[in-house]
Amino acid sequence: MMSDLWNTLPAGAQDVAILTALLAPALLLGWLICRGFAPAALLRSLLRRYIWTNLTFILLVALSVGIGAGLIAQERGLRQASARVAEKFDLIVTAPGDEVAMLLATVYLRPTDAPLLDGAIWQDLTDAAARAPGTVIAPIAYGDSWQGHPVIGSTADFVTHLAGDLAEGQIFTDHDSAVVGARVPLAIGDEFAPAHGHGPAAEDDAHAHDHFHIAGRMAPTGSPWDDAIILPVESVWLTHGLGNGQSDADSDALGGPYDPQFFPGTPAVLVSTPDLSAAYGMQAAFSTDQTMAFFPGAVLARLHGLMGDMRAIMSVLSVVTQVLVAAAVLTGLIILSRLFARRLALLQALGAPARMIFALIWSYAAILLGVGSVLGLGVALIAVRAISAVLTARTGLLIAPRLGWAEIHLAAACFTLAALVALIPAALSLRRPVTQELRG
Amino acid sequence: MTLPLSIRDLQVRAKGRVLLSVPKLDLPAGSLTAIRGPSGAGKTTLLHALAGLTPATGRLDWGETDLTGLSQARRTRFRGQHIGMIFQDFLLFEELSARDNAIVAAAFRPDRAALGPRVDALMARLGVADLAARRADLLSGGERQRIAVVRALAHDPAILLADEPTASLDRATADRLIGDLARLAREDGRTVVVVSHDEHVWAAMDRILTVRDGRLEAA
Repeated sequence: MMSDLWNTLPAGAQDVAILTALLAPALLLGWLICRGFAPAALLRSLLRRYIWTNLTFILLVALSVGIGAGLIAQERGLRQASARVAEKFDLIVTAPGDEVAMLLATVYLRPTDAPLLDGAIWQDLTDAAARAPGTVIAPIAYGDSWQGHPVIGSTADFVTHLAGDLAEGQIFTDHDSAVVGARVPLAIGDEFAPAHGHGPAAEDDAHAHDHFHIAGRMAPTGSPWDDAIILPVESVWLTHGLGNGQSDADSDALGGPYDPQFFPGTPAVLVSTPDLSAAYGMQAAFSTDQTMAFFPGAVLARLHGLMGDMRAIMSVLSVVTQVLVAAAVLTGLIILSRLFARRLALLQALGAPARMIFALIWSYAAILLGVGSVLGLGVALIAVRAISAVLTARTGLLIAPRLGWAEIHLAAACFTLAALVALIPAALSLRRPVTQELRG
Repeated sequence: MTLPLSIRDLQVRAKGRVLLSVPKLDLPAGSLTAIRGPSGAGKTTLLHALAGLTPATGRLDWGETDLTGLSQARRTRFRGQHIGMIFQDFLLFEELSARDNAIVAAAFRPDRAALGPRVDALMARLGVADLAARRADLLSGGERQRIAVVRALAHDPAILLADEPTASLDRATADRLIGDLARLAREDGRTVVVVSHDEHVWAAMDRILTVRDGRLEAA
């Protein structure tokens, strides 16, 4: 009954309800402890008394909460970014091998050595695509690079499928033109010569005689493809002396159809189809001893599952860190509250009830821990922004550095936990002998 | 309201040892009494017993209330209603203003709204009204002790207990303070007990008691 009601609530309402439930114990505790008292001036005094020590405690708590919240936000941002990129890649067909390696090579442009699919397989793919209207197939021929930017051979259809309309220029219309991703530092009309291979082993002079000019620039995709240079696949084949995929070696045609007899091969083929059953049919048909067909989304889901396990492990480590910090801060608060013992004894001498002393120290500790918890969200945001910028620069994945409800819930939980932990120094502060403290 | 003090067979013990023994003592309401004696004789212990800060056996009656028969919480409540205290080293909250210190009991007293006007009037009577906004750590010793006196009298207590109130002050400041303290107490009819080594304080009181080796002797 309750779960049914809960499930009918919008996600935002559920998040607000969880936040309220997390904060309610702390607020109720605060009301119960402080009702009837007006400790603001005294709190101001205690906070000012050891201002740098207090700020250090707040910073420690903020860092502790920030690490936990940042971990959650970063993992989610990475997961969403990687999933967004894979959305454009419905089905990938490659030679049999490791799905993850081929996913990284084809979708995330982390090239790997892979056998090529031959003309017969290409023809089978072409035939299968013809039976499912709206299906696009495109070779993805990776392996070359230019100054660290992957150079990919494919088709104009693939460029349009990947990035939509170009941001500037036009799509390639001849063997000598190329389209660049949004972050490639080449302008329209610039020329370049690709290197053979990639990374430190790239042979810069291998294709030195093959110059291409930039005809167009893709709109940003938030993916590693923003760093890529896309050539007509025929140009890649010709650069490697493999022909143009046609029986007529002088043909200038781009984008196929290709003659199976003269098809040089491609390490991967993208299949994009609006027909889900056709996609599953092709996945089954091309999962053979000669080919491997996989849905990047499914492989990514498995990877995310693994990341989820890692997140669980790191979350445990984060909680351990938070417990250690909480223990250190708690010890510090107990020591600090002893430094306040004479002031507390004075208040008792002036007639302050024990509950007031308890409320004062609880409020003081709760403020330090609570402010630290709230500032922890700021620390998390700064950390996530910094790490996201580094990851985006290194992977090309556009990771949105945002905090979500999960992090707010974490900070709220830390706040409530802090309110409970603050009971300890408050209780201990009552154990100091008043007369002894008054004597100084 | 004025309260007389009556003590019978009062003993304060700690760890099995008798720290203070007062067989009999009567102080009329509105009287001013000095307590003297060598260091470690038990003067402050007596003052703390009079304030209900330390548990004791026997009888210690302020008016109709026997403090020895009350729980710690009820002794605290009695102190909050009827007793004001002043200490040798002022014990002010250095980070707060003079007025915030004087009105510090507003943090826990239900009649906090009434404290403000009373504190302002007392500050005027003691000549420290112009210091109200100044931080306590910027006040002189004499100014601090006057603020401590205002704080002690803010809730209009019938009893004022002071522990070496002039010990941290120079002679002229101490004389002015003790004069003001005695004047305020007499004007308002408070019962005052002052622990002090200061002969000028003794001279301003109605009666002087001596504590020696944990026992009270009449002067």
